[in-house]
Amino acid sequence: MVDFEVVAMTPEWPGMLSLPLLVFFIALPAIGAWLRRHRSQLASEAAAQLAEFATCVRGDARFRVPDESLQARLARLRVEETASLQLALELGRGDAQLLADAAQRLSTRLRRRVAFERKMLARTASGLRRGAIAATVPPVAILATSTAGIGIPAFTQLLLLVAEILGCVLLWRLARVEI
Amino acid sequence: MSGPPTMVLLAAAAGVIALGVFGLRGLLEIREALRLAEFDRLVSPPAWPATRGLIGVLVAIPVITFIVVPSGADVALLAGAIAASIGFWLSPHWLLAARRRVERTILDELALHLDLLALAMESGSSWPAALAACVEKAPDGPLRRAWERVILEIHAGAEPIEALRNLEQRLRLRPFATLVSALRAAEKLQQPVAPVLRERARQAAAGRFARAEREARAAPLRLWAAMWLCLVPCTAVILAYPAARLLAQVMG
Repeated sequence: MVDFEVVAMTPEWPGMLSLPLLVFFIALPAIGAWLRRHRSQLASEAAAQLAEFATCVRGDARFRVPDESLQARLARLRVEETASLQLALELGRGDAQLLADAAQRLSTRLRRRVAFERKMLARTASGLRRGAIAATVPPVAILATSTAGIGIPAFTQLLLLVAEILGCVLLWRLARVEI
Repeated sequence: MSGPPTMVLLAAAAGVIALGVFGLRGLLEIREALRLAEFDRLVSPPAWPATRGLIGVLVAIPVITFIVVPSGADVALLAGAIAASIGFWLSPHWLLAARRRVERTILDELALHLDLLALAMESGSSWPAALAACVEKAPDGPLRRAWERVILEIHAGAEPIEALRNLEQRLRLRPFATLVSALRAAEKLQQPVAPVLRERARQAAAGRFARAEREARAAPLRLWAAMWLCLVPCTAVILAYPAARLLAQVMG
């Protein structure tokens, strides 16, 4: 009869440290996707507000500063293209048409970004789901083998942990395409 | 200790120091050229052979230290020499990759910068004022630093189109060549430059979108590759481990 090395499930460092670390990294791509979805929603609202602002400025033919909520929303989004609206606000004092055009252009860019981001999220959703499942199986398998009394050496566990983290970080990074 | 080995060691140490000094100077020059988007300086970087040698040595050091030292000095030196050769051979590819990365950043930034220039021109600014507004408002990056040099050239007395032509010569990127040609044509026909800039900004944005779209199309395949290369083998190793141990014990 073949004897396996029986390893007690003591709270040793690899298990203690790696479990929360692994949970975080497995969740990382999903957290990234959730944040992008949230940001995309904010951008969509800002785009609608900007289009409304552009229509108002064009309709009144009067230069005006965007309201606080729109400015705060744009600042929170940290979109590079906001610089053009800021420049229009600074340079085009009195030129309502210039400001309306700048706001309209920014709104169009934001809408385009939102559409791209939604398409990107839809494209990568299944890959991220498969990746999450593939990343969850190894820790479960380690737990199962430990329960069965077959201990995987700590060094091998460490290598597996590194590979898992690398895989999860890659999933998170590759699912993100900036536009 | 006998004479010749000491001399050889001293010569080797002097060689390494010289390689370090010249190679580091070359690396710093390359870094500065990439930072300022002056690609003409990358055609034949100063002290390039020494820089390549330094990169080779930097690749060889960890190989000698961490991987092969337990196997003995001869094997370590041989592996180090191979690693150094690989580093030396790969350094032009590394330089090209770094240049491509900066080029990509510049092309991504171009749409916003042209947008800002067009906006400033539409509001009646001159070229230096428009460039200054663009530099002030745009986020930091290689293109912004490149515009700073254009402003300096204009202040030094160069014509704006000439300064832009010089920028195009430094960058050697097609969108800049077409931009300069279009601006020259507009100047010859005494047309306003703002619509030209606006149109180029639109095209640069479309180009950026197309590049992002290409990357997005490749993303599912890349995710799949990452999963199969990093995550699936982990499960395979864990499941194979009991079987391997069983086999090892059976084989004695």
